Amino acid sequence: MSNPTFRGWLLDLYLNQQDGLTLWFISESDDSRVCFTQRFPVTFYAAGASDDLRRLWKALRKEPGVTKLARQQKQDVFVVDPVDVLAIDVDTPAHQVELFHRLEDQFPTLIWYDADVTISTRYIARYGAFPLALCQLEADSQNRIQSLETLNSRWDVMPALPPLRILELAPDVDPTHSTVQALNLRSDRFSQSLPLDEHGSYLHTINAALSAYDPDILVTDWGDSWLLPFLLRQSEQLGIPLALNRDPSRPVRWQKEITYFSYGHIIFRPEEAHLFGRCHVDRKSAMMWSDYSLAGTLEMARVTTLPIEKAARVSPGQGISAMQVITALQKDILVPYQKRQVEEFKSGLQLIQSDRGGMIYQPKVGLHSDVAEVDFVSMYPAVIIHGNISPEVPLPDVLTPASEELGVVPLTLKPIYEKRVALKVKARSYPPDHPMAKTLKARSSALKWLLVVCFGFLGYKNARYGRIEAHEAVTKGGREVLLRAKEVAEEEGFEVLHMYVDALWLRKKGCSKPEHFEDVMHKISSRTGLAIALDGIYRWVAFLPSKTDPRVPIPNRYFGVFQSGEIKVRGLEARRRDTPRWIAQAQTEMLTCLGQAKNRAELPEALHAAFHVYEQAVKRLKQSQVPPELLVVNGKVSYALEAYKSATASVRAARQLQAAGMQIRPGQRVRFLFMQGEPDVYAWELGGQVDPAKLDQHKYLELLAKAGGSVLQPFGIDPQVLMEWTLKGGVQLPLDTWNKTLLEV
Amino acid sequence: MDTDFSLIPFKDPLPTGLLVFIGQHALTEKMLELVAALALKQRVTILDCGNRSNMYAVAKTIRPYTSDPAAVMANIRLSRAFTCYQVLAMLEAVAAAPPHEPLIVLDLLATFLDEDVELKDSQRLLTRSLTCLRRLSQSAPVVVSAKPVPQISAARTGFLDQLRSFSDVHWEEPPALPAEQGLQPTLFA
Repeated sequence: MSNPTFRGWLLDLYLNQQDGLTLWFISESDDSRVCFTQRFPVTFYAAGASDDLRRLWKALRKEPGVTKLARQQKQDVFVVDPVDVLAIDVDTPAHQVELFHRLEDQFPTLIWYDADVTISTRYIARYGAFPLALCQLEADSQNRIQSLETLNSRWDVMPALPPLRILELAPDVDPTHSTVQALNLRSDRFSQSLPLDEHGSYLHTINAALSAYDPDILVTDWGDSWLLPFLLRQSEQLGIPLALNRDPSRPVRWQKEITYFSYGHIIFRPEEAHLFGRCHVDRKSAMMWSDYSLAGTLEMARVTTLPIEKAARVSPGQGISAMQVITALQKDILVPYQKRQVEEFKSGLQLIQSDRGGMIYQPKVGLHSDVAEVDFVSMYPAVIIHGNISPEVPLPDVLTPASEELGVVPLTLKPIYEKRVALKVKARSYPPDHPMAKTLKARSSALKWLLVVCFGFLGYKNARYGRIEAHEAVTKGGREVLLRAKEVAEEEGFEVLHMYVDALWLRKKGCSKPEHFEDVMHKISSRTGLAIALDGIYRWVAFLPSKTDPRVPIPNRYFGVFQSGEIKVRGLEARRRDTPRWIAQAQTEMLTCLGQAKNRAELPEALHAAFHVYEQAVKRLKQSQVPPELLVVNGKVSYALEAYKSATASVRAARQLQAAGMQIRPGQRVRFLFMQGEPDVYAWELGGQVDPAKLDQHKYLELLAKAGGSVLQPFGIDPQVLMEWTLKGGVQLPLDTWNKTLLEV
Repeated sequence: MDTDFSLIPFKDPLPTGLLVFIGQHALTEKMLELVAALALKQRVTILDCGNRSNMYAVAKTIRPYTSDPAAVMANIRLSRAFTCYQVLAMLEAVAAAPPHEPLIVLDLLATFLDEDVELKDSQRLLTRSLTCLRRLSQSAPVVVSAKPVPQISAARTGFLDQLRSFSDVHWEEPPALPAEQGLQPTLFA
């Protein structure tokens, strides 16, 4: 026996046609990477009419690879009594996948369970092992695992993690816009720029780095869409082999591009390159990279049990879905292949009463000082856990659970919620700029996203454990919580300036320190049963009105400065993904100037500084001093181009790309510049130099004036007047109103 | 209720049978007017297959005609399906205890056009759903609305033909005139 007992961290796991599974571990003792195989028979189930089940049994009796057939009774989450099923045991997971797809066609009326559960989910349900889990195993001389034990838990707050080898590979420029001249190769041991010469010497260098350094994670930029396809193409053309996989028997696996609908947006995900034995993470495809980077990605993989490559790319909803399936498997509940459970009949009146969202209390437009923002800690997940809201459990009476035993959904969420709280507490024990504080914050952020999507997922059509009534029960609970909080606040003499789903903005004369709000928060928490936290106390906060009608307040559109000096902005141009970087920067700088004011007396000076920033921005734009790349608009096309009857700027730019031979998919981002004359837009991905003098200055001034107007409006500057001043000049700005406005704060 | 249905041939009372109406947005506005008109007089069952049951619109429509809008809204019984598997399950459940009041099916084909479901599966589920509807239409009026199949789902255009072939009566909204051939002449040629 070469490895009688082995301890190491699980890095990768995938199907293996012959042996069942291939598993790669990072050794705990000698830093080696070791490959094992493991037999892994799986079971799936069919339910339906007795005759159909009998026909299925007959068809499978002599099927190679089917090791056992048995009639059993199992629990379907949506059915009260156990259902009769035919359990089909298959020798390998690969065989199960192939067999199921055949049977699905052959027996279309049968109901299937546990039929499409991913291998990583099945594995954790059986062995408790997840990505980067520390395991102890015994294997035979052929490295075939005989037994495996998981030594840590995915809920550990400070787990022992392996020393990962990370290799970064990225082109020197954005390949969608410019011609790549070199590739940058970097690890903790070396850093190198590799010119793209015609002989392909860069391929030799990459190969050498892959072989000598043997990375666990290959982190790339545009790896899926450009870099790996380019390298593989060059490798083939130049006849220089490129060993991207650690498993030499496998080629790179390409996952098809997809377009899908999520939270009201059409999203395009390009083709993905997956490796075997090591992981490929493309920072440009990694959905939440900017939010939680590699530390958060690894946390996401550990907690959801999704493979690292997948956890980096998919939405948190898929993570929640995988976790719910694990909960179901561990509770011996069937995992439906297709959800058939439908909404119970309602009257028209009941639909009006139940089909509502979160509670919103319109803000009091204008500038306010000494305002506390308090919000419920992960309110919807807390309502789900507190009210035990799950599709298979009777719904609560608003917030009072109907059953003690937690259902699949709250059972899945509870440990995430608790771990996030523990991570936040741990992070606070480090100084804010300590690397560990940043890592803990990133991990906490990954969990936050899982908690955020869990509510939406309850109402998602394809969620296996979704149910529209449960989804509605959550918003109902949330509304009740906020109303109770408002009652408490008003009883305590606070003025509620704004409420938005899970947050309240409170003000009371003489209250300007955290301790002044402790009592009311404690009372809110005890009346609602949910934890509430003080987000901060604003020195001042401005709630903004509608752009089209200044009398109409807009919820969640505000900016303000906390006593710590931190600026908080919601609903402004700087927060929008399509706003040109330069406009967003100008607006942020204006806000930073305002943030310098420590009290009301300092505001006039700060306002003048902010206005100066604005003036300078206008001047630079008028003098064509702004680099075009900072003025790129990040647009999007939601439908196939031929479906558009009237073309927006994004669509006009996308059509230019299409005319240049590029493929445009619904949900794809399209970057463009506004230009003078015709065509009035220029698609950024067409490449080439853009003369700043030919940009549509008027259009950019308009965008700048809108962004500036949002910031200056609460201080008495009419956005329309600012727009006129910006575009035409010669208009007298009523700057004297500033002081008057500030006196009223 | 004096509702103008002149552009759409709803007869009062609705005849027993499978009546199919096809138009932009699955003729939702008109269908909800029909729901309102029926609810003022009797119970009506809605099977919403395309998230079209805007009950606020129905409540607004009935308001001038009743002093008890809550009672009228209680005459409406509805259930929503968000996948074609749920549509079939919903229809089979209804067919097990067929209602005697009119059954309105809103935007029947919406979920069958979902590209996440393979064409052959959608086809199979639609055939079974239509068979259910056919059976239901023998005991009460069944009104089905659908929208034209968009270009992006061209492979599923046959679904609309299949729906027509199952119907006793079908009515289709005339295609909109192109803007440049509109009926309104320009004032200043």
